[in-house]
Order: sequence, then structure tokens, then C-alpha cells
Amino acid sequence: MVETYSPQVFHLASHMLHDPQEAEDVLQETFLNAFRAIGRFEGRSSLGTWLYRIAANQALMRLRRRAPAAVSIDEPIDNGETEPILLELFDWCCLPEEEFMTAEAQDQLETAIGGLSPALKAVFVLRDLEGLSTLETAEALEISEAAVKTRLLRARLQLRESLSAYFTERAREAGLA
Amino acid sequence: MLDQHCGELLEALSLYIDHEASQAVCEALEQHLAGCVDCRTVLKTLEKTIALYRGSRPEQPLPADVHQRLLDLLGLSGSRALPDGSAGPG
Repeated sequence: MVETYSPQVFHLASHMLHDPQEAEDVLQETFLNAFRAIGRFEGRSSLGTWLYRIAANQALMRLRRRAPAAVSIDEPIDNGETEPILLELFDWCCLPEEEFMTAEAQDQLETAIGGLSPALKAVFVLRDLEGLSTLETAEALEISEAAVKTRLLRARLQLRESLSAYFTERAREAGLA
Repeated sequence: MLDQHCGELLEALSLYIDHEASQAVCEALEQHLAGCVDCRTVLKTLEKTIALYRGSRPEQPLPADVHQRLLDLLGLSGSRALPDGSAGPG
């Protein structure tokens, strides 16, 4: 179990927390909790999904501690912050590929994901970075599949908006906009 | 300029990108996209955004020191191949 799943658990925690020490703490807490609770594992979800659930909960607790006012994973999603806002309508895909690979661009990706609420970040990380299915993500976060789909759209649109502001500026500097 | 109709169709964009939208939704979206440059831009930059995140995070092995500290914590040092759930920290 440890050999198979520890890299995935560590990646999930790293993606959610962007802090190597906190990611390691979550990794350790996840397996300690899993070892203690393995007798209660009922097999209704896969072992991997069960571990993701433990890890995601640990990471979300830490994110909530950082930003107590942020949206909880348990809160209803129908609130103002989840409305998609589309302001940037320039097609920056015309930029040369190397523009997307710079250290500054990579920092922008990190900054943008750091701006997501814990609820949106958890869904985006599990679905788009870890590659879980909608059902697996719903099971890991103990929310409905409909909520996963809605939050994934909100997260993606918010990230697009953040990146668009940056890359549109790069395009302007390059005389493309 | 995005209008209310654009907003309604954009709700289906994630499903469309993930090939999970129904045929009727796909047809409605594609018909709209053909005549709406702003929505085409949103779709294109949204797909690029997802691709950038997926491409920026190649899977890395667990760092050796992190792995070792985990095994030490769990009392599994020296044991690399455990059956699932067969051992615990004691």
C-alpha cells in the first residue's frame, strides 16, 4: 500500500498545498490514519480513492487553517464567488510556445492555482492534475458528481481568467495584441 | 461581447472539453461557436489553460528522503514490499 500509493498521495498534497514540508506532513498523516483505520475500510471505493479521501481532507484542513474565511468543501456551491467571470477575451494561444515555459509563466500557473478556494482547488487537482474520474473525485471528496462538474468548470474558468490577464500582457509586449 | 446565451452555453464547456456533453449539447455549442468569436476564444484559451497545467506537472517519484522518513514513521524501514494493510505502526 505504501509503495504503491505514497507517490500519488504526496503529489496530491504538493499540488494542493505548494509547500514541501506540509505535503510531507499530509503524506505521513494520511498513512498513519490509514493504518489505524484499515480495519474499517469497507471496499466501497478503491483503496486509492480511500487514501485520496484521507489525504484531501488533511490538505483541506490545512488550507482552511490558512484562510479561515475561505469556502469550505462542505458549503453549498451556489454563492457569488462561484459565478464565472469572463473579462479577458483575447486569444493568447498565438504566443510562441517558449512563452509558456518561462519560469515567470510557471510562477503564474502556481499563483493562479493558489488563488482558488479550497473547494475549487481540491476538485481541480484531483480531476485535472491527478487524473481521477468525476466519480472517483466525488467519492474522494464526498460530494456529488454534479458538484464536481460545477466546481471543475468554475476552477478552470477562474484559472483561465488569471492566466489570460498575464498572457494577454505578454502578447501586447510582443506586439501580438 | 458575451451575452446571456453565451453564458448558458459556457456552462457546458467543461463537459464539452472532457467529451462528456450530450450530442444535443455538443451540437448547440458547436452551432453557437461557429458564429461567436468570443466564445471560440474562451474555449481555445480554456483548453490551453488545462493543457498548460497538465504539461507543467510531470509525475515525479517520491523523494528518497521523504520516502525513508515515511517508512521510519510507520515502522517499515527495511521492508519494501508489504501486502496491503498487513502491517501497521504498532
